[in-house]
Formats: sequence, structure tokens, C-alpha cells
Amino acid sequence: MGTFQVFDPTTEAEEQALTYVPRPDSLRNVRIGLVENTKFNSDQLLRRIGTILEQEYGAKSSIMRSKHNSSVPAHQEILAEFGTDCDVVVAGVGD
Amino acid sequence: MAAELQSTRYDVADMAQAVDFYFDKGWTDGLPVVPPTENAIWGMLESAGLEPQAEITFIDNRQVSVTAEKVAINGVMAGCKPEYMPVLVAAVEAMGDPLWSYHGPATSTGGSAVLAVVNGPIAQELDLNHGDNLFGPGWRANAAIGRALRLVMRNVIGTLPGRLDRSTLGHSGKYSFCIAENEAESPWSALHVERGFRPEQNAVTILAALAPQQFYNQLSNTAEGILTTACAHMRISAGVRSHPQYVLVIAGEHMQVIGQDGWSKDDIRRFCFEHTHSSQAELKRIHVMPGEISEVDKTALVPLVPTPEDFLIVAAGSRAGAFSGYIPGWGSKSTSRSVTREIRRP
Repeated sequence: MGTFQVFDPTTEAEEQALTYVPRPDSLRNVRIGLVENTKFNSDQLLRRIGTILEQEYGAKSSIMRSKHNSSVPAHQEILAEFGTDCDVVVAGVGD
Repeated sequence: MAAELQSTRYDVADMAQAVDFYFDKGWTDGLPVVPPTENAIWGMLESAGLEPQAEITFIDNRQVSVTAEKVAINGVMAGCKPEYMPVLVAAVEAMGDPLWSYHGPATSTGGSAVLAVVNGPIAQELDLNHGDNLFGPGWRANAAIGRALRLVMRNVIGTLPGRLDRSTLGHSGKYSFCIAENEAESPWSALHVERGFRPEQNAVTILAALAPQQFYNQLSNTAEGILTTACAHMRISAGVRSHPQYVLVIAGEHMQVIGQDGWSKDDIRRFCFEHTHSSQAELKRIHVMPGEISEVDKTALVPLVPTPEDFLIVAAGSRAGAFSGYIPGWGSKSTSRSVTREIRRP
């Protein structure tokens, strides 16, 4: 019996060029942006992180903005505001 | 067609080796697949009138283009006949709709499956089951179409369990979760007609859905009685507090009784909406709402779903038995909602 051919069912994701802002050497006097994902207690957790960064690490300020929901990336208004008004952003999935 | 298939080809010695090859590559859902040969793949593409590289959808947050060729390959693997391909294409298009919002349902610990409800004449042509053992095995079209959708998620979009798919429990609908509506015997407008299509059009509706739940009422001979039971089961169920959409599947005996009482799908929706509110006090008592119970909480009511229209009513299931069911949607309506797409054939 001869061989036969079968096919690969998978797809590779398209490559994206991502660049990262250099990490700051210190958090002293930086402006913190907090991305809140709308899940229970994520606002409280982030607020506490913001306070710690200000009080213990000398950050200048922190502001928190909420995503439309936990399943989508931060929307354009958040990106624009944090792009101009923040030096460091803290984001994560609270659950 | 002049185009060629672009996917990598592998030589295998025989059927048994081919089946093992797909297991070894990690390309199955845990069951053996049908090895996708060139002829079978072309059969799927021609059935939908699509060139291999036609883009069915683009999953933005994964940066993945889902092509007709890959849908066809996974469809063959799932056991699809060529004529199922247009249904797959429409359902995959729907998965790429921002309102369905792929990332949440695909990845969430909440563990949803893709419920697909097929409407229109194509359901009968493909022998899609709308009756006995509705969510169970036994019908090739239901089993293969639902399975193909999950294989596309796994193989094309990379939704691997334990990696991108972090479902805590998941459920068996993640193998396959495809049904039709019993349009011939239903006293009501079909689901796709309610969503803007003509009865003779073919359409598929998908919902990110948790497992189906059954309820029993053999005592009532009124719509109100049966739906009171339905609401008692739904009111504190998997979607409580998160406000998803719900599917209510009304089977034969209940369908007859509710229809004979003259209730429309709108009447059913309104009744179910009104009777599935919970007090904030109860939601706090059962620990799905944070905070201490206040006096106000005892009279403040919270609905199960955002609006009456968020109950999707489907007439389906066996003629026999005083059972119907409901399916909680995953997450909230604001994170993912049901989407309907026309099934197009050349």
C-alpha cells in the first residue's frame, strides 16, 4: 500500500514588532498609571500598589483607569492619557 | 480552482499511522481525527465556493488570520462532510466578531464552549438534530460541526487547554455543542428570524456558553406553571450576578403547552425576566455580591440578564418528556454576546 499525504491544520500568528520602553532605574518621582480590569477587588489591589509605590518607593503620583471589561485590551483613551501623563504602568489580571 | 493548498504536507504510510501522527503533533481534541487529504480539503472549499487563502476572519488579539484552507482541514479532521463547510465558515466568522470578543470566551477560567444554533432549511438538509438526545451523541452533522469549531480554535488560533485556554473545569460541550431548532413544530418564530433573517435564509447563532441544565415539570398544564419552574432553576444559577445572556431550550411537551396557552417568545422572555430577579440581600447572603446586608438590600432587586431580549428562546429537544433546559452564557453580556451570521452557499 502506498503512502498518502495529509496536511498541517495549524497557523502561526503573524509577527508583530513590539518595542519596550526602557525600565526606569528608580521609581523616585515617576508618575504611575494603574490599569484596572473591572474584576472584583482589582481596584483595591491596584490602589494599594499605587500607595506603596508612592510612599515606599518615592513615586510622584498614581492614577487609575478602568478598561471597558476584563476581556479586552486597554482602550485608546487610556493609552493616550498614560502615554502623556505616566512614566510607569502597572497592569494585571485580578480575579 | 487554480490555487494550491499552502499548508505543509506530510507523507504517511497508512490510516493508522496518520491517526497517530495527528496525536503525536498535538493536533487533536483527544479523539482520533480523520486524516485530511487533498481531495477532502478541496471538497470542503468547493462546497463553500472559497479559495484556500480566503480569509474567514482575523483574530486581532492573537494576530491570526483564519483562512478557508485551515477551516477546511480542521473540518475534515472533525468528520465533516463537504456540505457542512458553509456552516463552519459562518460560525468562524461569528467568532471573529468583536461583540463575541474571542479572547474572553477562549481563555477564561470560566470555561465556556461555543454553542452553535443552526436555523433555516439547511438544518434539515444536513440532518442536524433538533430532537431526541439534543445535546447528546448520534448525529454526524451536530457532532462534526461543533467539533470542527473547537479544532479551529485549538489548531488555528492556538487555544490549547492549560495554555491559552485556562478553563478551570470546562465542560463536555467543548468537544462539540451544535444544535438545530425544531422550526417545523415550533409555534414560534425561529431564532434567526427574531434576529433579522428571513425564514428561508440559513443562519448560525453562536454563544459562549456554559453547560446545559435540565429542569422537570410534569405537573403544569400552563405556560406560567412551566416557566415558573424554569425561573426557579435559573434565578440562582451559573450566571447569577454577572449578567450574561441565557438560552432557554423548550422541548416538545413544554413547547406544546406554552404554545397552546398562546404565549409568544416575547411573552416567555418578559415572564422569565420578571421572575429571575434576586434581592441584593440574597446575593450577599450567598456570597456572590460583596458587602454587609443592609435594609435597602432586602427590597433592591437585581435581574439575572440585562434585558428580556437576553433570553434566547430555542424550540428543540425530544417530543417526549416533561423536560426543558437552559444554558447560561459565559461571563457577562458586556464581555461577550451572541452573534448570528448568515450561512452562505455558492
